[in-house]
Amino acid sequence: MLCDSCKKREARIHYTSVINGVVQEQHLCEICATGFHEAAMNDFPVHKLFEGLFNDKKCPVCNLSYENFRANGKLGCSNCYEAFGDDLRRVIKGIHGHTHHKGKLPKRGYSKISYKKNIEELNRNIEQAIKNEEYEKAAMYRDEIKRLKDMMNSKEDGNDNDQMA
Amino acid sequence: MIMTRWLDNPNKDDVVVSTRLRVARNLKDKVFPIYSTDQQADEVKELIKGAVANLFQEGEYSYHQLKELEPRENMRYMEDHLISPVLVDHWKKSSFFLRDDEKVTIMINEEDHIRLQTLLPGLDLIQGWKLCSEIDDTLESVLDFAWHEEYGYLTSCPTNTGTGLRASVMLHMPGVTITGHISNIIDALRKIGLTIRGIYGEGTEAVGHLYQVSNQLTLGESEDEIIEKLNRVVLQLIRREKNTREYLADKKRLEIEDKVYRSLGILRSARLISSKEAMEMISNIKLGRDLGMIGNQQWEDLIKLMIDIKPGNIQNRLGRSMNRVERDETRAEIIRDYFK
Repeated sequence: MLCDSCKKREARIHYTSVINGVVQEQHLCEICATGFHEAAMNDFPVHKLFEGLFNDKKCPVCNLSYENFRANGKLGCSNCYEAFGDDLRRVIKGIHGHTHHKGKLPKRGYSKISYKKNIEELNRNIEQAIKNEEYEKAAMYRDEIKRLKDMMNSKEDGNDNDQMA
Repeated sequence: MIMTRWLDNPNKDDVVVSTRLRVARNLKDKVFPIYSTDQQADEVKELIKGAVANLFQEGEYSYHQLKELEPRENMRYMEDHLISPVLVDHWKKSSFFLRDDEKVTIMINEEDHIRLQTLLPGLDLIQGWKLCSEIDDTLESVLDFAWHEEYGYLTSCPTNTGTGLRASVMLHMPGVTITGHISNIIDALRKIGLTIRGIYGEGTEAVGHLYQVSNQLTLGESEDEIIEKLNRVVLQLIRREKNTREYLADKKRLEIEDKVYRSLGILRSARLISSKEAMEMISNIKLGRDLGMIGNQQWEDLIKLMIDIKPGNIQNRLGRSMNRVERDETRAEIIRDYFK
């Protein structure tokens, strides 16, 4: 992630400010972060001041508010991930640098389209790995594709529902 | 005497103690344990227990509810790394299945509905993940896990979202601690998305020169990539620690011998000793032993001794609650007996 201020260097410091009850996130590089405090007080944009007031989303299933999540960092239930939409996506991106899961998929409740999407991505990864002469990596992606294809096939056979509780 | 069974290992290494893999899983649409009422938590517990109990053979796993155990028993499970500190914090709501060989724990109502962990002696990330993933598949065959097409497995804390996997290796690194190289190592690990901390996880201090190295991120890298990277780094850390020990044995022999024998002197004489001091001293002796300075052919299970002298283990061994002075006294006795 790039620094919010200079947009050049990698952001290493993640800063949350609460001014008049408005929560704002800043991701800064070490250099810009040094001068951040004063800048935040002087140049605080007025349009952002009101943004926070209307951002009081609540999860319809567990009733947790976004504010509450921000206060203690823990979500209330699996539906919060949908309910908090792009705000949460930004948080996830800030933590992991990614938003797209790679790796194990549940054997059931997972659509064929998603398998295909993942296989396509893995194929792209293989091409890239071969270009970089990273053959071990390429082999790993190939094994992963095989695993996904096997899972897709077993799904078609209807085996995945046998053990439903 | 209760022994930590999972530690039994024929291929012992001087640096690596153990490998732990854990995945976080949650049930769809159920409130996460941190916010759930006691009633909601009980529902989740019964639901998981009911589903899981039928999956395994009779006697393969034992089931424990923390509220039904003595606090000292919960503490000893935690000190043995079989359950997490958070599970103990949630004792009113939490429970766990423990496999007979202690290598698998299924924790219920920790920070997430399910925390599945596999614990193996030595460095064994590949086998550990294989075992973990197989049991995860088995659980998934009867439980509806919370899942998101983009984010992967959904967890209470967004820092675990994605694979939900935390792979960690416990290392005994007195060499790089004594020379001070450890601070460079900590910085270097952080830069490549790994983290290093004390032996009881997040926010705990490194006592007895024991460290836990683990992946920091769970989204964007597959389980195999996470494990491969950690494995590569751990092998380097082992080499680094061993080189440092050789350097110390060669160039600082007298200082190290002095440290080792002074530690033995304290452990053989103390009438009262805290677990922190005891762990530091036992760690020094382990270093001396690994370098062939002391205790040849004996004291093979010093890591086990470090666990056995923890407060929960001591009280559990005597089957009663004890105050600090009583514990320190009993601990000193156990240690004097061990090194006599």
